Amino acid sequence: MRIGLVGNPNVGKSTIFNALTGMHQHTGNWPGKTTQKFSGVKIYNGIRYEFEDLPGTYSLNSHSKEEEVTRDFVYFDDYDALIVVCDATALERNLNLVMQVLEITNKVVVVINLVDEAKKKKIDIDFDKLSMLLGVPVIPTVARSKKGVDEILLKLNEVIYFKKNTFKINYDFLESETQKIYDLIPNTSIDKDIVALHLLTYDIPFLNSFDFKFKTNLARNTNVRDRVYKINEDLYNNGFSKEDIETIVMECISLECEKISSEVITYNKKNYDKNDRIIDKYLTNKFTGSIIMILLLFLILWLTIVGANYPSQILYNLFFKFEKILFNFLTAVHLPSVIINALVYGVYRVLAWVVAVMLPPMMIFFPLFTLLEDLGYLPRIAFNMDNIFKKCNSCGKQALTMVEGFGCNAVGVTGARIIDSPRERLIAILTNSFVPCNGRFPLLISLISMFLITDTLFGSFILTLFIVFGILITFVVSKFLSKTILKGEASSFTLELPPYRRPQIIKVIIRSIFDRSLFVLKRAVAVSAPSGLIIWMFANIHIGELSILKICTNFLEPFGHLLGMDGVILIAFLLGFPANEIVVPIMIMGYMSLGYITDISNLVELKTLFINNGWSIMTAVCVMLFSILHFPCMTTILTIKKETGSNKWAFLSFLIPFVIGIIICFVVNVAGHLF
Amino acid sequence: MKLNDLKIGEEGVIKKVIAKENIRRRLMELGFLKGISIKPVLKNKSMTAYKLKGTVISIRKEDTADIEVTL
Repeated sequence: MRIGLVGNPNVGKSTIFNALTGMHQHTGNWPGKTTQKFSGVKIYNGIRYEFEDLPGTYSLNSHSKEEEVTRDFVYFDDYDALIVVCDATALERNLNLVMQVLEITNKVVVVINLVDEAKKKKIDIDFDKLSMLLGVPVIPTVARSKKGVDEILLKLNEVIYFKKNTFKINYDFLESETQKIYDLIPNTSIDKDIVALHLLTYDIPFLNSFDFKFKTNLARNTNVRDRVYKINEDLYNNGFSKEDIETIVMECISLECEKISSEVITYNKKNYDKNDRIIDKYLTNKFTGSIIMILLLFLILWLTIVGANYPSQILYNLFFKFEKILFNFLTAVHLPSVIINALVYGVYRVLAWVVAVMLPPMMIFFPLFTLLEDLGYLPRIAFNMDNIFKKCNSCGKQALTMVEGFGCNAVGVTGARIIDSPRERLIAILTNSFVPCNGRFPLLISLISMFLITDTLFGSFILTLFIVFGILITFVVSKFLSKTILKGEASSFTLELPPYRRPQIIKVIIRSIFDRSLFVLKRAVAVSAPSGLIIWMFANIHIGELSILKICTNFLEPFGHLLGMDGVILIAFLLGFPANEIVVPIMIMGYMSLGYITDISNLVELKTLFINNGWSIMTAVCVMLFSILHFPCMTTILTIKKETGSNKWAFLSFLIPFVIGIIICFVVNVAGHLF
Repeated sequence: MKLNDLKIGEEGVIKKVIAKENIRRRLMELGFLKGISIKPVLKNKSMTAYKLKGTVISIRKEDTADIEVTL
């Protein structure tokens, strides 16, 4: 059984999807599109269900790339039934999509989610009456309980056998207009009324998909074109433009929704969203809003630093114990000593370092971030920051991509899809790397701790300052881009502010831990391990007296000093292109010239190593600045290439931060020496 | 009167949706249609958040400047 899940954004559709599919999900791409496809297969009572989670959409006539995927699925794909997920506290608007879906098929189960939130707000919904009015099953669900799942499956089995019958929406006088073109529309699974309406509103994307599925190009059919033109001309002469027809269609659907809403929804508390508004007052007003944003940033950083310290140490010790076992094992199987060294001291040590240093911070950061997201706070950040971004000729949604960039810049880049304007999307993509990702946190945190201040509270404060600096650079660069290579007008956009919801803390933590561990380990094996091998080779293959690594660092030495750093640091950043997390191991290897990382298990020894190689506080500051302001990692660049479809932007996304980093470090270095 | 003239907490009914082409359809999808009740709940320098159809949508002031409402 193939079941599609549709719904407005923010209704908790993914919660339902997760409940139906458990962990049995995989992601892919919709054929021909870049939108991610989430599907899951589960067997219930001997029947195999394939669930497809479709992009959230406000209307089946929406014209964004993502929403068109949903439209095409509902109209044209082969499925056995659909689940439309609604938010019980926003049912009025959600019904819009429900109606549009019911116009296409009645093999639908309507799931009304978040009924516990509605109950708290004393919103009463008559589910039975709604079911009767819509002609399909309506199931209330509570986000946290699994009770709904069984009922959903039960009802799915019923509707699959429904006879085809679709909901009729009264389109007023347009109905007589659409009949005028019936004879030219082929018989398909879609009601001729619907096709006719799309013809009258010149909905080209719809017609293209129609053509693709039914092999009938109505747009190019001259008879159809002439008839449509005539009908529209008559309507125009009677005072109705094309926009008016679109508007009338929407108004008719809305009218139907209002009729049904008034019969099934009762608001027993006039000011049911009072609490949301009070919280909003504090979170979005000019003064407290900004303070809270910075405070939250500080808090998350501090929790990540404090919480990750001990576990990193434990992992580190564990891995080094295992290293001896590995070494002995490889010796016992008589591998040549060169290979053993390469595998243990090159690959394994870098791998161990990366996992020990990356895993614990991610385990803390990501759940915290997801909790904020589930709470509904993030759109408020976009609301608060829109004004600043407007001054940079961009939009508030860029703030959201930056927030995601904290976790991983590649995710921040794909997150830019929420920005409708292509120009502003590019600005967000090109500047995303000014926000340090989790991979850069360990470097920043340890440098602060070694050279600036050991106290974690103060240290977090300083890290916050560095990050705020990165954000300021984002503003400046965004503005610069919008005045030069990405010129254009300010765009229009809408931002939904969902009600605040209590996040399912335990579920979020478990899911994050599972997800993130997998991610870190996969990345460590795929990127850090091979990089570790290559760097080991650089450090151990000699040309004449010097290793390749030494030759490179010597070459870059003068340039490094210009920037307040040195050759080893620069080569570490350059070779760290595949993944930011290997920058520190490379630095250590470079300084030790041993060709491998020795057991630097605490920061005191690391600091000694650095100081013995000429580091000062100035060096640490420049390294930190460069870490925030340098080119994005390889994964991010590849993601940018995929999202923009262009080598030019991928290259620029490398060059722009790189150049900015060089300039700033140079200036800071010079300034530092002058004072 | 225009939508932007509504004060926070003041409820109006939409009379006519006039807006730039690129945002007009999106606004209608979100419920900005003739006859719908609407009420501003938050304002900042750049955007205003409106309550309608049980949801809260925020938009830039310039984009709603031409929408007509009655009290």
